This record gives sequence, C-alpha cells and structure tokens, in this order.
Amino acid sequence: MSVELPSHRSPSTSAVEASAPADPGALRVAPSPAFFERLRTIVGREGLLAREGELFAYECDGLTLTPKRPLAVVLPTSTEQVAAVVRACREHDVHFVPRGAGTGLSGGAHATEGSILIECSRMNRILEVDPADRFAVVQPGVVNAELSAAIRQHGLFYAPDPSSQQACTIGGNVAENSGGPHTLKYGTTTNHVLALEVVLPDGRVQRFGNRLGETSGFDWVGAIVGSEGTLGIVTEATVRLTPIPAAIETLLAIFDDVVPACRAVGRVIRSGVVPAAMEIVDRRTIEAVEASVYAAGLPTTAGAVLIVELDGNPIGLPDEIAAIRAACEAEGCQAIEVARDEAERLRFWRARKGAFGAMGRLAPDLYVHDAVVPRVHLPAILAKVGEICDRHRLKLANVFHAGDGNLHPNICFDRRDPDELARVIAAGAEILEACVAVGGVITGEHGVGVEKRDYMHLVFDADDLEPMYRLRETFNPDGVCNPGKLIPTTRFCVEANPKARGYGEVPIG
Amino acid sequence: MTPPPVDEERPVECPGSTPIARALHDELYTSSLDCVHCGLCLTSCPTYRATGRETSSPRGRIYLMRGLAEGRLEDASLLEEEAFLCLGCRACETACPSGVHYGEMLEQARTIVREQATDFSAARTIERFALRRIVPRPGMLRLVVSLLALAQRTGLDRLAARLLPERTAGMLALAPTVPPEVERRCMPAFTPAVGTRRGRVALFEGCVMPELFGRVNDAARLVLSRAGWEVVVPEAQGCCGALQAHAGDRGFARGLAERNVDAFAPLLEGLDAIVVTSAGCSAALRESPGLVGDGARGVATRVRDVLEFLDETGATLELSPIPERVCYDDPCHLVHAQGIAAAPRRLLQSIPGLELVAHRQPEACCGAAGIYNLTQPEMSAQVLAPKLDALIEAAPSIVATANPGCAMQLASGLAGRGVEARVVHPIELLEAASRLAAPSA
Amino acid sequence: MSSAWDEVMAEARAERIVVPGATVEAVLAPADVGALGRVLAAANAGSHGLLVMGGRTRLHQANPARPLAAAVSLEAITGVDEFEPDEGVVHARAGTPIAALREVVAAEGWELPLDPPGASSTVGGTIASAATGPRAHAFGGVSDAILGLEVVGADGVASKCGGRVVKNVTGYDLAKLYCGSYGTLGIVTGAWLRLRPRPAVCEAVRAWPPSVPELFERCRALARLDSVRAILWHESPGEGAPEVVFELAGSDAVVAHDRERIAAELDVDRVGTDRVDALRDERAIDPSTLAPDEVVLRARALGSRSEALVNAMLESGLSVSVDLGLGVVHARGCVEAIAALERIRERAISEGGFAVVSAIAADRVGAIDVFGPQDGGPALARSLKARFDPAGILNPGRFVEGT
Repeated sequence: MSVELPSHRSPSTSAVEASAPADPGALRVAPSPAFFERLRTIVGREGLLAREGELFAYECDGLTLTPKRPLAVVLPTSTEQVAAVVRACREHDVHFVPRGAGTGLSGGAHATEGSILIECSRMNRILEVDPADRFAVVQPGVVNAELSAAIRQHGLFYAPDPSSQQACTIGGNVAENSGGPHTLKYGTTTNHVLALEVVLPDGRVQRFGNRLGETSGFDWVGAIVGSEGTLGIVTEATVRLTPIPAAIETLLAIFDDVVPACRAVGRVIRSGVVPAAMEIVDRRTIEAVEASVYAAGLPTTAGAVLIVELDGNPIGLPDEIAAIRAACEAEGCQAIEVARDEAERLRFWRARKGAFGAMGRLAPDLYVHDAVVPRVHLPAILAKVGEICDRHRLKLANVFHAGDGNLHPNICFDRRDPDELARVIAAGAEILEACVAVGGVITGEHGVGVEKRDYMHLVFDADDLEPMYRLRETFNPDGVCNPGKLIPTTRFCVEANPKARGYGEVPIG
Repeated sequence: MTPPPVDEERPVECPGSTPIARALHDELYTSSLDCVHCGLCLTSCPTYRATGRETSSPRGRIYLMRGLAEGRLEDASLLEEEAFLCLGCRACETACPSGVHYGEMLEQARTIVREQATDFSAARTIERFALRRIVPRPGMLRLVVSLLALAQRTGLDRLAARLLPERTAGMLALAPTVPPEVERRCMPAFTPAVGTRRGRVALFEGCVMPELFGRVNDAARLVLSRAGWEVVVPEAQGCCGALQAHAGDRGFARGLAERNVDAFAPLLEGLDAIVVTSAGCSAALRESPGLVGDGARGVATRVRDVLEFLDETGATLELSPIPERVCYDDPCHLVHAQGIAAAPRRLLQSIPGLELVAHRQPEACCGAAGIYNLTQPEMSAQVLAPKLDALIEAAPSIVATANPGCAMQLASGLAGRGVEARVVHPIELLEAASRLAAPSA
Repeated sequence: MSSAWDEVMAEARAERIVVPGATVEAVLAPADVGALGRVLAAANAGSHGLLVMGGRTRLHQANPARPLAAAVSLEAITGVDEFEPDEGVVHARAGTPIAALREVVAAEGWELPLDPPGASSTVGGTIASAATGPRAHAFGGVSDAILGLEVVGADGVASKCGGRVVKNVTGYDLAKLYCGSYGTLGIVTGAWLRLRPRPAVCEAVRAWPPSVPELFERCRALARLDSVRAILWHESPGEGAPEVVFELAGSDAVVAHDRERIAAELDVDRVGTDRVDALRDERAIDPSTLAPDEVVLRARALGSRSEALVNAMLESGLSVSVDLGLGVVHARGCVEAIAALERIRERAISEGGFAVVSAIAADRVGAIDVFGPQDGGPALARSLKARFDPAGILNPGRFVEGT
C-alpha cells in the first residue's frame, strides 16, 4: 500500500471554472477625514498629496496599463514618519503601497483599490560611505546613478545598473531586485545588498543583516530583496560597493542576422571568458535607432549588433578580446570593432541605450517585455517571438541582455485602439508561454508586479506558490502591504484569465 | 520574415469637454504621446528634486496635460500651478530618451492655461503688462532702466527695500547695478573686419542685453571683427519674444518673432550667421519656426550663439594671458535647448594663463529662468542653493556664463553669500585677452 | 494515522547517529522525491521529529534537538540529472557529493563555485548549511551559485523555486531562505547551479609572514588582485611558524602578474592547490575528537576589523585558520568558561559580524546558543517556522531561536 502523494492543487479548479480574483479592497469603505488629518500631522502639509490632479499623476509608474488612483500620496522624510504612516493605515484599515521613482515596468508601485502610496523620493540622503570596507548606507530614495557618482572619488561604484539608473532609486531596486546590462559579471541587486532597515507591515521598525552580507541565521535580507514591497517598506539599505575596473574594453560586432549573433554569444560563454556585458540589438531596432536622433552610424546592412564589454586587469584583456573576436568571426560577423576611446565606446552603447526612446517614438505606447530563456535557446526563441508578433500584426523590436538570456521584446502600440491592445496582450502571453516551454521564466529583471501576476502559473503551480504565500504571511499576514502584487491575492485564483487583471478597464482615450 | 505593415496614425477624438481640454488636445495631445512615461527625466528636473513630487516633474506635467486632453482628469488647477512652477530649463529634454519636445509643450500649455484662466490677479496683470509693454519696447525699457539707475545712484533702492513688501524688495535685490551710460550706447551699424575678411555676420542685440549688458554685445562685436568677420547690426530687429512665450503669451511672442524674421530675412544673402550673445534669445530664434511656421526656417538655421560660432569657425585670435581661476556655468538654454557645452569651455581654455575649474553642478538650472526668480522666488532660491554651494566649493575668481538672466541670478546669489567672484560672459574674457594682444579695431 | 508512519519506518535501517541533544537509531533513505514526500507526510501527520542529513559533515553544528524519531538521509537521491556545457549550468540531486559533481563539470571546462569544508559534503548539505570555504573570496556565498531549488516541504509536498536560467525575478527568492536554514523549512532535493569557467591557470604559493600586523597590512592590497581567489592563513600558538597560502586563478598573464606582486611583498614558494583543500578540510571537525573543554568557532568580522578579532582569539589561546580578505576566522581551542565564549562572540558582533559554535564537546551541548542572537528575534524566526513546518518535524530545535 502506498500513501498518495500530497498536493495543494485544488483538483476542481480549472482555467474555465476559476473566477476572477476578488480584489481584496473592492468593497472597502472610504477612510474618514480623520485619517487624512492624521497623515497630515505625520508628514506635514507639504508631504500629503490628495488633490484630484495629484492622485491622477500617481495612477501608474513605468507601466501605463492598469492605472489606479491612490486615495492619497504621502512623501515621508524619515523612517519614523514611514512607520507612523503605516500605523495610521492599520488603524484606519487602509492598504499602503511603497513607491520610489515610479520607473518600474511591472506596475509594482501601482496603487490598489483603497490604498495610499508611500513615496520615498524625499528620503534621499547617503548616510555613510566606507571606502575601506566598501559599503554605503543609503536612504531608499537615493538615485542609483547618483550613488555611483558620489563614490567615484573613492575608486568605487555601485554595480547594478538598470537602464533607468539615472532616475530609479535604491529602494525600488531592492524591491525589484533590479538588474541591468552588467549583471552578467556583477550579478543583480541581491548580490549587492548587505543589510536593510524595514518598516514591517505592522508598523515596527526592524533591521536585517549586517555589513558583511552574511549572518548566522535565516537570510532575511535575501528574502526581502526582490519581494516587490510586499514584505514591508525598506527605509534604509546598506549596499556593497565595487572597485571601478582598472580597464574597460568595448567591442561592437556586426552580423547579417540575429541568429549568428546569438550563436557567437554561446561561443563566448563556452570560451571561458566572462564579459561584463553582452547585448544584442536586432535589425528592427537598428532601423529605428538609425532613423532617430540616436543614430550610431551603423551600416544599413547590419542585421544585428552584438556589443561586448570586458573589464578588469588590462594585462588580461588582449587575450579576452582575441577570444571574442574568434567567437564572432567563427559565426561570420561582417565586422568587429574595438572602441578606441570613451567617445567611441559611448557611440557603441548609443545603439543599445537609444533603442527604448527610438522605439517609443514610433507609437503612443510601448510595451517592454521581459523574459529569460536558457541562452542556448536564444536563436529559436527570437524566431518564435518574431512569428508571434507578425501573426498579431504588431511592430516588434528586440534589444536584449544576450549574455543572460534576458529578452526584451519591445512592442509598439496604441492603447486607444482596443483591438490592438488585445493583440498586444495576447502576443505577450504567447511570448511568455514560448519562453517557459524551453525552460525559461516570465521575468528576469522587471518583476512580476501586477503585470505578470496572473502568468505566474506558467512557471509555478499551486504547490510551488504555497511556500511563497507562507513567506508573505510571515511578514504581511493580513495583506495590507502592497496587496495583489507578485503572487495572486488568494490561493485559488492561480489560473484566472488575464482579463481579470483589469485590462478591460484601461481607459480608451 | 518581413516586418508587418504599420497602421497609419488614426485620428483621435477628443473626449475632454472643457475649453482647456479641447485646447490642450488640439495644441499638444499628439506631442504628449511621445512620452512613454519611463521617468528618466525625473532627476534632471530642479522642481522634482526640490519637492520629490511626481506632479512637479516633466513626466507628471505631461501626464496632467494628457489626462486633461483625454478628459480623464477634470480639474485643471494643478496644471495651472505646475506649468508655472516649472523653470522651463529643459534639462529634461537632454535626459529624455524619446526626444519629447517638453519646452514647446510647456509654452503651449502655459498659453492655454493663461488664455482660459478666469483669475486675473494683479501679479499676472503686471507681469503681462511688463512683458508686453515694457520689455519689447526699447524706449520704455530704457526709461525703466534709467529710473532704476537713478534709484541706485541716490540710494532710493535701499530705502525702498526696507519699506516695500518682502517680495517686491527681493525683486529689487536681483536687479544688477545699471552700467554707466557709456556702456548703454547704440552699437555701430557696421564694423569692418580686422585683417583678412572671412565673411559677414549680423549681431542680434536683444532687449535687456543692450540696456544692462551692452558691454557683452560690444565685446562680441569686437571679438568677431578681430576674428575677421565684418559685423552688421540691423536696426529693424527687436525683442526675441522668449520671455513672453515662456510666460504663456505665445500669441504676442509670435508677433515679435515675425518682426525679427522680417528684419533678418532680407539680409541672409552673403550672411554667414546671425550671432547672438544671450542663450535664451538664440534658443528662441532657432526655434521660431515652431511659432511662426516654416517661413522662419531660413533665419532660424543661420542663428548661432557667439561662442558656438567662434568655436566652429576656428577663430584665430591672438590672446594674451588672463591669470584667473574661472568656473564656467552652463545656461540651460545653451546646454539643454541647443546642446552647446564644449565650445565655451574650449574657448576659455584657449586663453593663456586662465585656469578653467570644473564644479559639481554646471548643468543644473540656476533658478533664474527668465522672470521665474521674480514670480517664484522661494523655489528659485531653493534651486539656486546647490549651485552656489558647488561654486563656493570650487572657489573661482571669475564665474563665466552666457545668458543675462543667469548672470544676474548668480551675481546676486554669490553676493548674498558674501562671495566676491565676478560674473562675466565668456566673450568678455575673450575680448579682454584679444584686446591686450591685438591692436584695437 | 500511525499506520502510514509504521509503513515508512518498516523501510528504515538500524543505525545510531548521535547529534547534540539526541540520539537516533533508525535511518530512512528514501529512493526518490516521491518516497521522501511520503516519509514527510507520514511524519507530519504523526508529529514525528526527523533529523535531516546529507554528507553528515556539519550534523553536529546545531542546538540540542527536540525528540527525533528517525533520520532522513538524502543519500539515495543523488546524481547529476542535467548538465549543459554550452550553458554553464548543472542540475544535481541533493545527495550528490560535491567532489563528484566537481569532476563531472570539470570534464567540460567548468568549475563548481562551491567549496565547503569536508570531503564528504553533498550538494544538499552544502546548501542547507550555506557552507563556504576559502574560495568564497572569488565564488561568493552558496546562494550566489543557486539558480533554482526543488524542495519537499514538511507536509510532504514537493515544490520548486527559481529556475534554470541565470537571471530571474519570478516570484519570491525562496532559495535564499532555504539556503542556510539547515533543513528546518523544507528538505532540498535538487538544485540548478550556476558554474564558472574553469580558469586557464590555477596555482598556489605560500609564505611565512613575519608578523600578524604585517600580514594584515600586506594582504589588504594583495586581496584585491584580480586572480587571487583564496588567502588562507593559519596559526597555532606554540606550533611552528604561521603559514599563509594564496590561490591564484585566471589567465596566464594575469596570474603571472599577480604572482609577482605577491612575491614583491612576501618570500613565497610554490605549493600545490591541494594545500588549500587540505587546510580547508581541516576545518571540518569530528566532535568526538574534541577535548572536554575544547570548542570550534566560525566567526566573521568586517574586513578592516578582522585583525582585532583574530588578535582577541589568539590572546584567548585559540588556534586560528583565517580567510584573509573575507574576515572569516575558524578558531579552535580550550575555553574553560562559557562566559569567555560569550565574550568572544560579543567581540565578533562588535566588530560587525557574528560567531557560530561549529562544535563543542558533548557535555557542554546546550550551554551556549550555537547561532547566537538573530535579527527579528525569536518571534520572527518562529513565525516563519510555524508556517513552513507547523508540526515541527524538520530538525526540531536544532536551528536558530529554537526552530
């Protein structure tokens, strides 16, 4: 006799039968005027925004689909204020959502029904820099690039470099476990956060971790980084600082097509060289970039461009350059150039960094997808993504972190066209399914947020999600802190269909 | 795999019902769609930095414009405030990956808001009167400046500062010392080239420049001629209209722009450039087609900032040493609106003995922003403060900047902190260096 | 109810295992993940405490266990399932010995960035104890190598987290929580691991530094050289000259450059890299070899303050084995009073770190908390434990704060 293997799967729940997830705040009562008065007492008149226009401007972050106006926005200036705001929310039964600069692309900082936003932009001081032990203590509103600028004098930088680094904040980076082009060598935010101060959803202030990045017990810091603000509000972060490499070399290789470029990436990985970054820009993006103010002077015959950045001891770089050259030439690249100076290096990167803007000008809305596949599947998945978008008559371009297998299909569209919007959403789902089918995942750096919450079931079944609920409930048992993000709100709506996410509510202009 | 056909741009119905919504929709809705809401502009924005508020950022302001135009937002009062809290420094345009024309949208929004405004406050009435009836009229401006000079000579200004309300007193403090009559003289209509003639340029004088910074225009005239250019100063020119456009009076500004197009268009034959010493004016003249239409293109494409022109034509001036420690501070309308940052620095560095010192905040707005320091004095001071910190840290003996408003703001700010550094236009240093080296023109 | 447990126990083999606070007489070695699930479900239903074990290297590094009904060994859940040499990732089952996995990947030019002390360490045990060695200088922590995990929960339900790709923010990063939680939240059954390219050159040099202050002074700069991936120094009071070993790995040119840099600071001679392995494995202590008042500690301090910690330990008469550059100190010696031990821990904490009691003689088990004070205190740790293992069957009492 054998015991049946236990499971949390609810056998009767199917995609068809599952009803839309009940928004936990859908039937919430509007808070009393006393609540707003209390907030004003805590953060001051200047720190509370509640006019119609103010709430409107805060209805979304970098993801403009699924907008939701908050009840109010508070701009605290200290940990104590954050904690007091959280306690006030609890007493008045109001949910709260932390927000940094609002550059996230998965809607992690969108308000939910009956919630206020706690925006940390005014908590923007660098509290301590220790060049000897290489760490910095910062408030959550410190801007990523400005931290690096502030420590350059010590020969150090903060390694995670999301594309939005000139505006995004460390607090937001911690919530999203942000990556960037250079994560290939340096890792993502989680590899660079040593300690955190967090206002827990019950209003208590708790510190986690130390300046070493290793503790003798549970790795709470590791669990909180990337938790998308659902476990509490980070009010201080101690981050690791990295020495600026002694030398940087940037190569640009031009290929006829994206497939050999991807194969060249595979060869580099196999060669044993670990570049700091390996990025691919495809033909459609090159066309868009070259037609824009960001033109990098790429030949019109270019079907794909591979940018490889190497850094480290200058003694070792010539051999690595040779290895990259060999890998690209073995895949028949048209040309390969090594940047001779900083100006040329910036020109190489312009093709990559201007892509988002150049694509953005082609249509009113831009949907930047984010999925990861094992790198060996890159050529096949790119063909598949192209096929999906062609079939849905959508304009697509690819720029991606090839070294990580992290795809960013950019789809241009106009959300005022309901049919096109529906096709964008359908194509997005198909892209995610295709990536998961080859062993990939649905997000590599943008986060799940509200955008991909209901696609979590593509990667994780109910049994896989169960420990995630347990973690969330340890910190946030009644779901008051950033509800409805990252994992489905309740355990039984895993397979709810995307319409339940409110895309139907997107205002058609 | 061929790219799919791209749909033609669809006409969009405007659901907004108020006059402001309709006007916003007609004027700028299409431009507002260029913004993909990425937020990369946030940290470039001085008012966002000072407040941390999304609504006081370029992205937030565009979103308000778009929301009103779409009819998703009813209350326009916030846009009315935010549009005028914006400095118009356009640092966000430098930061924007999508090339959004924020400056133009801002002027359009300000104009719509002003036109539709029901509130005719005294301050706004005075402002409009000043910008329409005084600034663009040389006679009136001269009269006002002369009165100011009289007040400064007699000490009446200091007395007034004690008696007047704080805000008005603050305005007086910003006013620079009116230069002696000799610097306010009319410029010769024609100045020949010294040495080998390389070509001909026209000098654009501006409105405030001749009255308060006549020495700058004159320095430009002398340096250009020493560099081999003959300089004409057409009489028919006038105020560029930038201040009026920034203030939401695009209709009036259009008239001024048209007058300048009419003044310069007949001279274009044989003219190498229309040279301007004020960054605000050169930016406005360059962008006049947006206001006037394509007819202005011929004039607009010929416009050059004087430093840009000398740099790109490779001026060969004999320069004698100026042993000073100089900080160059970028005017927003030079660096952000026109992308000119290297030319002024290269020219300054060409002066022997001059030590060009970098400071931490060269591209941040100083808070002058036309008449912003008069209309929004608190925010203006807040925006200026970090730049003053940076300048004091760099400890120059001279601060060089290429726009009259910035020069006044920096001079007044530095004086307020008890710093003795002189504030000059880079062309003045070039003039001094070339005067000492070469025989005078 | 109990019949399921009886059925499970019918498969057990008799074997005595002594751990702090408990002795177990039966070992279950489920053949696969399904069988492990059935074991746990049955134990959970009957609230039977289980000792979870892999290579048994760090079984004694624990607080006294609450009653244990049996041990669960992952020995049969072993093997390398998938290895993609073109991708640089590998999937191994929990019971796979680290040494075996290292060889499999090395054959294709890859290196496993795990370096736990003890020759019998397994993949699962290394993850559960987050055990690192001197090469953590280059490899980073254990969780840095983890891409995804499969886990069987206390209720017997199998789940996974993370994935097989090198960049992933899909869902909570539960792997961070499982790693280093000593099997108290669930039993890791398999892991996707990220590999590093095998360096072209890997060599070691050693030196006898003139004094401790000079050693720290010189190694501050040497620790930052690109190819240096371990600096291991050990000193036993009264026992010969202290030795420092550097392991260098990378391209020919860089290793040669760095070797010269080291030689400019210290008199060095070449030594095999197995010297690093040997010194590392000396840190895996068999507690039965300890004298009655002997203890083994693993402490860590902030880099700039590790010298102070080392000095404090040397002054207390302990011998030390130190990863310079990491600030990790393995100390061993006789400490008569528990209060003295507490003071050493306080010193480590005041220098920005912590101290874990890796081994202590049997008669003093329980006299000091092995892991020390925790962020969030007992309430948070117990709240988490209660949600993952409400019946308290997984390594009960052995981890932090009585979890």
